[in-house]
Order: sequence, then C-alpha cells, then structure tokens
Amino acid sequence: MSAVVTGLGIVAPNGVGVDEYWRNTLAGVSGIGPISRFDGSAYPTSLAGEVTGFEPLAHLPRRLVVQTDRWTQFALVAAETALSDASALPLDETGLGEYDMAVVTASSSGGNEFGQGELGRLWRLGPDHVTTFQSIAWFYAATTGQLSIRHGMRGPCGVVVSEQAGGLDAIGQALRVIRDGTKLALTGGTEAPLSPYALVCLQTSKLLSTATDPTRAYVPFDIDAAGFVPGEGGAILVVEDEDSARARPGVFLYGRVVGYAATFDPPPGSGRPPALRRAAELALARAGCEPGDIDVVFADAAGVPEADRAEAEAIAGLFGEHGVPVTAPKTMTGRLFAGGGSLDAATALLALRDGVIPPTAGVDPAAAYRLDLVVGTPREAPLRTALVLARGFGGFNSALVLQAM
Amino acid sequence: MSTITLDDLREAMERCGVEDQVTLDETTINAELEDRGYDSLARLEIFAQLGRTTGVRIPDEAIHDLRTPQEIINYLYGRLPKAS
Repeated sequence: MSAVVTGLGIVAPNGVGVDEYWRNTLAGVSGIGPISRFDGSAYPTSLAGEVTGFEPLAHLPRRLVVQTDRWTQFALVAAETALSDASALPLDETGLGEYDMAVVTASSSGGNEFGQGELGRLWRLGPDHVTTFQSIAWFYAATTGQLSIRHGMRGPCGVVVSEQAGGLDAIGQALRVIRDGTKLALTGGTEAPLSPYALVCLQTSKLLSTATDPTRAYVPFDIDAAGFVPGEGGAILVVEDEDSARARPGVFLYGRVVGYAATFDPPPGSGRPPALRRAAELALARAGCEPGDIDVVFADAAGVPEADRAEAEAIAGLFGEHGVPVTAPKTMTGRLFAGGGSLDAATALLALRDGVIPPTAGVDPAAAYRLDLVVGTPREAPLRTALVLARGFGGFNSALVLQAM
Repeated sequence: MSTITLDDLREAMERCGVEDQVTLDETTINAELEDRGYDSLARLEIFAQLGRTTGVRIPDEAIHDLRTPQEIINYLYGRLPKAS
C-alpha cells in the first residue's frame, strides 16, 4: 500500500492558487506587510502575511460564506482547487463511494474573526443578537465538517489540534486512514488568525516579532532573528491510495507520503534534549530512508534564537554540518499556524516535481548554525526525497518524508 | 413593534444566505422552507431574527410546526402585542 498526493490547493499571502504561489515563491516575492484588515498600528505586532485578493463569493455559495469563518473559506476554496487538480471532479464520476473518502484537517484557533464579531454582538446587544451560525462557525472541527458535507465524504473524518505542527499531523493522520483502507483523503490545514482578538491571543506566546521592516521582521537562522510574523492561509492536499489514484484518467502523482512521526518535548528543566531530531529520525526510519537519502529539508524555522539553535542542532546532528540543503520559504508568508506545515508539504512536492529548491527570503544565515541554507535565489538540484519539519508551541514536533514518483 | 410585514420575513430569510433574492408570492409563501434549502439552523436563525423584530419569542420547538413562511406569519400574528 502506498499513499500518493494527487492534488494541491494553496491560499497563501504571496499567492492564491498553486501557480501564482509557486511562481512568487521561486522569485522570492514576500506577502508580508503592514496589517490592513484592521488598524494594526496600535499592536506590538503590526506586520502580517495577509491573503489579499481572496473573494469567497467568487468561489462559494453565499449561504456558505454567511455560515463560515474566513479560515473555513480558505479551506473550502483550496479543497475545490485540489480536487480539480487531482482530476477528481465531479466526485461522483470517480467511482469512489462516500465512505471511501475522508477529511482530516488541522486547526489551531478555529473561527476567530467570526467568533469575535458574535462576541462583540453578545457584549453590545445581548444574547438574542448572536447568530445561530456561531454554533457551527467557530469551533475547530468546522472546516472538516463543511468539507465533508460539501463533498459528501463520510469516511474517517477528524481534526487535529497541535498548534503549528498540526499541518503535518493532519497529513500523518490522512496517511493512517489511507493505510486503513480509505481511498481518498482531503487533508492539510488553513488558518485565519488576523482578527484583533486572535492577534492578542497569539501575542501571549511572546514569540511574535515586533519589527516594523517587512523585509527583516521574520529572519530565522539569522543573527537578527527576534520572533516571527503571523500569517494566514494554508494548503489542502488530496492524498490517495496509489492503486485507486492510478485507475483514474488524467491524474498526476506529485509524490508519495512515505514517512511521518510526531514527538513531544520533555518538560522545561528536565535536562533532556528537545525531541525534534527524534521525530525526524522516526519519520526517516518509517520511510525506510537513511539521512543520506534526504535531498532537502524544509525547516520549521521558528525565527526565535533558542528554537533556531535547537533546530539547527537537530539538522546538523542528523545530516552533518552543512550536510543537506535547508530552506524556509515561509519567510515569504509568515507562520501560518495549522496552515504552515501543510503549505510546506505542498511546497516540497512542487520542489520535487520541478527539481528546484525555493529560497529562504531575506535571511543572512548565521555561521554558527552550520546549515546549508538556500538563500537569495532558487537552487536547481535533482530532488528525490524531502523532509518537512514543524513545531508547535508547547512542545509539538512533527516530521514528514515525501518522495518523488 | 406590534406588526410583522412580508419585508421583515424576506429580510430575515435573505440574511441566511440561502437565496440571493427571496420571493414571497402566493405559491412560495406556502412552500416548505426546508425544500427551499433552509436547514434547521437557518430556520432557527429566521426565528431569532423575527423574534428581535417583533418582540415575540419563537421557541426552538416550534421548528417542527412552523414549516412555511405563511405558518411563521400566522404564528406571529396571533401573538403580537395589541397596540395600546
């Protein structure tokens, strides 16, 4: 049994749609800028990776737009694109039964903006003024539920909540359900954490950048790293049983999902090392890979010195000093929370397809990290296997191994 | 307010986003809302909005009985406070 990725849907601050995003990512075009959805100037963090030019009504019926948060709308549009990319629309012509298809998404904060609007009405006007749709719009499972309803997918559905590791954990769970017999899974994650309420919640982590220069605000593995810029968007992937996918005409196989693992960090003060390297080692072992088989690493790239150091030690420890090309295209989007890992996975698959490593933007790599960081311009290379890393606040570590066909 | 108009009802229905333009003519006023795409949550939303407009609270349980726009109007008419 093998799980393959057959479709990608991307909604990112530097591009909506796979082609626009990939073109901009290779060209080093960043989507980070001053927050425009509200007056962000009074907040310690005033920069973000915002998705602009996203018109939900151009893609979705008005009823769905009324009933859902922006984060769900990102996923609904990305899923449609991904299914179309997978030559799987209309679904009822694929021969797949409704119980053959599953939805597994990640969310880290649910429907913030929708919830903030309704909480505002509750406060100002009273409970009678809160829309009934609040009950289905704000909670973490809303996106999975709406995707399941929209596409009639009744297989093993779920939502993964593991902060910024979630985008990889969802793909890991999709891999499990495919191995258990489901034929097709919509998976990945999106996030829309740029309402004032959500931004204030995020600031409590004290990991957000307070810089005001968009080109230098999020510079992981740089001596000036001082936090990260939040962003919105993400990616939805179609993952399928390989035999089932190959039976469908016109399908393109981006690559195989060959290994996944997640670990949790020991508590502070335990004296034991962080568990990111262990996640990578487990994922490689499950993929049947040696470190030398990995052609590129998509780093978590926290942008916080202590976390950058821990990740650099994990990578240099596993692959040797400057032992493998490392990149962090999320420097052009900001960190997308549950959307970040899945966007990195989608980006890795595009890199495998085209034999090119997208650059890390705006970073002058600190020598002490001993990483071969791809900066400035894309690097062409024969790519067969990619490792994608993600970490979530509180101790989540995840690793995913993707392989070209 | 001690009245309910078709416009109130039309507005409440349009806010659910199910139909871009809601028509309430002799036929559609007696058509079941569920058949027009208003699921139970959307119907509760219509109740909530008309409750605010008229001051008459429609209990959630009424969702089993008030299945058409006409039935909602009849229910509200019978309970509107009398003008003093």
